[in-house]
Amino acid sequence: MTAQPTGVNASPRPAGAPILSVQHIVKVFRNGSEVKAIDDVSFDVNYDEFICIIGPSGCGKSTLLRIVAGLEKADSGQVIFRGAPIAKPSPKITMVFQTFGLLPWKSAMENVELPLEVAGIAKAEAKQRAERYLRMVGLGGFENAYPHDLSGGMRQRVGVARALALGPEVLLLDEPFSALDELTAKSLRVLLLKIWGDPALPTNNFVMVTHNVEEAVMMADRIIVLSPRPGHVVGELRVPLPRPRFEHLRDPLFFQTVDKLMGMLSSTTEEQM
Amino acid sequence: MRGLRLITAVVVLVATYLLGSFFVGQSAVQYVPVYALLSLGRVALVYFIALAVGLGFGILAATSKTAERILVPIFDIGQSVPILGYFPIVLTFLIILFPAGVGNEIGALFLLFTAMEWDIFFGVVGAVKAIPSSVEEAARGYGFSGTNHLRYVVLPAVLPALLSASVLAWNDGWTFDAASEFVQFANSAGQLTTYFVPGLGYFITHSLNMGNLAASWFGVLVMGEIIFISNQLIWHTLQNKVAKHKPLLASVIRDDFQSPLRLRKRFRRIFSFRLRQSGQEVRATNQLSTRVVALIFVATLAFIGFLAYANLPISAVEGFVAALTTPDGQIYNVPLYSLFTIGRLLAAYLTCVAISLLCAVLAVTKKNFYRYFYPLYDLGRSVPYLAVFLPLFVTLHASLPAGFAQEIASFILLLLAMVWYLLFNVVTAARALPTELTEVSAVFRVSGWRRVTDIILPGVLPAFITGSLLAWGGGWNVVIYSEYVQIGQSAPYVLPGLGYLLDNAAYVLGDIPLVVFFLFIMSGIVILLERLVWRRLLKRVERFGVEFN
Ligand SMILES: Nc1ncnc2c1ncn2[C@@H]1O[C@H](COP(=O)(O)OP(=O)(O)OP(=O)(O)O)[C@@H](O)[C@H]1O
Ligand SMILES: [Mg+2]
Repeated sequence: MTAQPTGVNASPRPAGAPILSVQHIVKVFRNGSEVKAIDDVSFDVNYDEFICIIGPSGCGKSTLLRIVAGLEKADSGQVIFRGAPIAKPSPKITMVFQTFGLLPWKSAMENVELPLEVAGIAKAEAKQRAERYLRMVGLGGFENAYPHDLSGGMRQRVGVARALALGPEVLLLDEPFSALDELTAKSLRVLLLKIWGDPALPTNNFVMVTHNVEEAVMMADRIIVLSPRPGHVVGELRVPLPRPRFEHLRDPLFFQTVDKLMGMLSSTTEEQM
Repeated sequence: MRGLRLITAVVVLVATYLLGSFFVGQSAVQYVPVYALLSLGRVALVYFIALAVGLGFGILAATSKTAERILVPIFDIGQSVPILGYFPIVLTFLIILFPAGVGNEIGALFLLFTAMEWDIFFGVVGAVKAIPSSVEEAARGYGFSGTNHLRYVVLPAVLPALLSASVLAWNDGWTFDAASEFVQFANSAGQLTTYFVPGLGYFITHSLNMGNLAASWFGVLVMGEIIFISNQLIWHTLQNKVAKHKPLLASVIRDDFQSPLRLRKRFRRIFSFRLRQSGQEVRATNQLSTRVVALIFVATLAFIGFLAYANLPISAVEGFVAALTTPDGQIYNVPLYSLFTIGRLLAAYLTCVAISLLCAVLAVTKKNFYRYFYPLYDLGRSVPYLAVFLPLFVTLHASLPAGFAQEIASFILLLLAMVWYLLFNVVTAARALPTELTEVSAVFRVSGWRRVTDIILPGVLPAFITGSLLAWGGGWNVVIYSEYVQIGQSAPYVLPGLGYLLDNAAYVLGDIPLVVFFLFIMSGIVILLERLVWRRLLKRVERFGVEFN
């Protein structure tokens, strides 16, 4: 009935069922005029999977992620997490934000601590855990720095530590590197892949939104391709490259996969490149 | 649309007049339309003078370094000194200088001018300085110079800021109208003197003297309606027109609603000698000047205190000392009375803090908050609080002891004078909080009290401190007005405070050195509080502010 647990405190896994199932999501924004952002999107996230969602600007990627996070209500359809529909944010699903979403008036440490304290974890324990996660993302020694003293990359590391400290099962990431320069983004990609593959951590399911084709191929097990607005799934691509991926960035297979994804993307847009 | 609003305005005014005739009495209110027109004319005249002066000197100060070095400190001092504090001296001088009637009129116009000028001047300076260098370079590239440059670059660029400043100036002008049109006091011999110029402000106070409270309130109502209507018909319309050009001038103004105080904040920064030029903060003598001001202030206080108490016979200052130490001058009351006045301001301020922070929380948590907030704000801003004060006091006095009634009326006056600055800044900041912060609190389930203390309040803190700085400035200006009240022949109603000492020195004793001395004390306290408390706090929290991009 149950498969082997991979994390330290992993919950049981019903065989065959995905951890997260997005089912026929439709979202229309109504303020004055009607904007249909998402049109019947469905996909599954299986245990231990790294999913990337890619699509043209404005196709509803962020909206979709926010629905999964329980921040936004879908007009129809539902998101099933471990067999139950998601209605509101849960500590089992957390998020990393595009522009970090740190509180400028709190130190790195306090930013990570806040969700832990809110979740009812004792102050001393929260402190210890925040310290551990900050060290894990490479910010040991920066506990007392404030966001404005940190570089963009370091800020996003705080964002990652904060999202992981609660020990969620699903991590949602909305273009987490698009506000960073390429070199910084590269090292953060490596960090995230390491965290995803770390069996000592309970967070093994990543859903990441991106604009960047190479990034998606480098990181994802499976890529969901969305059409221009209103977004719907135009295809799905399983990345055939073995891991660790950064050892295969020169493989012809890598470039073939990138080309294939490019093809899928441009076939959905009016203007051909 | 505009025609409809105009007709509505006329109908409302006529209906008010008819109702007034019916309920207050035809004979009492028959001249109100004339008074209203006279006040309107006075405020409008001074507005245009203030506009001309502000534009001329503002553009000069913004474009010439030398002019800036001379003009900015002058205007800065002008606006730091509480207007109603030095009004008595000015009036006394003018009345000696000019023939009967003319002195009063010039005095009234002068008070209005000082109420209106600063916003416009600093508005213009800030806007000219904020012209993007790319626009300047393009203009130079096309060979614009002299009048062309002024006409096609500077004036259009200044327009939005000028409008925002004009709204403030216009409202401040009306607010001070009540104080400028009627000054009445009894000298030490109990002899009553009245200086007045005909207008709505005169009508409001004069009706009280005649014992007609209803007529006085009626005057307040008409004044409030005129302010509200002129805001809606003139300023909102003009601002909407100018709004079309805004994308180009985004650095100056973000939003119709939030512009005025944002601008003010900007200029406050400018004249604290922290110039914001093309993103670079040039900090000059700020630190030094604060210390110098503090030092001079404390040294002079100590010196005067020493002279006053020891009563040393130093011939050079003897006359002055004698004037200062007259028992009626009550110089020994300065420390305690200063505390009373500060206490009065503090009570009103703390109430404003509670109201504005509550509104900040509501603005973030309640979706349709703004639908109720903006109309109420517009309405509240139209209340001419200085005009409200006297009828309010008389109304309260009908059922309460005088001192108590005066304290309550003073509290309400201060509340109305201070609350808008705080509300405006704090609510604007709450509105501008990035949606990402809202999502962060939702994802990490920071809710209830934790959300208030950890997210909303820190998020609005810089705006809150800026608003506090402005609110105290506004408060000092009117607290003087509330501590000394002369109605009809009766003895003056007074509250122990600096404002009372000032008015007593000016009106009852007619002692100019003493007035100057009290003014000096008051300005010193105002400037020190601003420099030592608000600016420090602002500097401290600025770096923790949310980044708006
Ligand atoms: N709160 C909202 N109200 C109205 N319309 C919205 C709202 N949020 C998003 N939209 C609209 O829905 C569409 C999808 O927005 P969304 O932010 O999800 O796109 P996206 O794929 O994330 O785009 P990008 O790649 O630029 O981040 C857009 O057209 C956007 O304008
Ligand atoms: Mg997006």
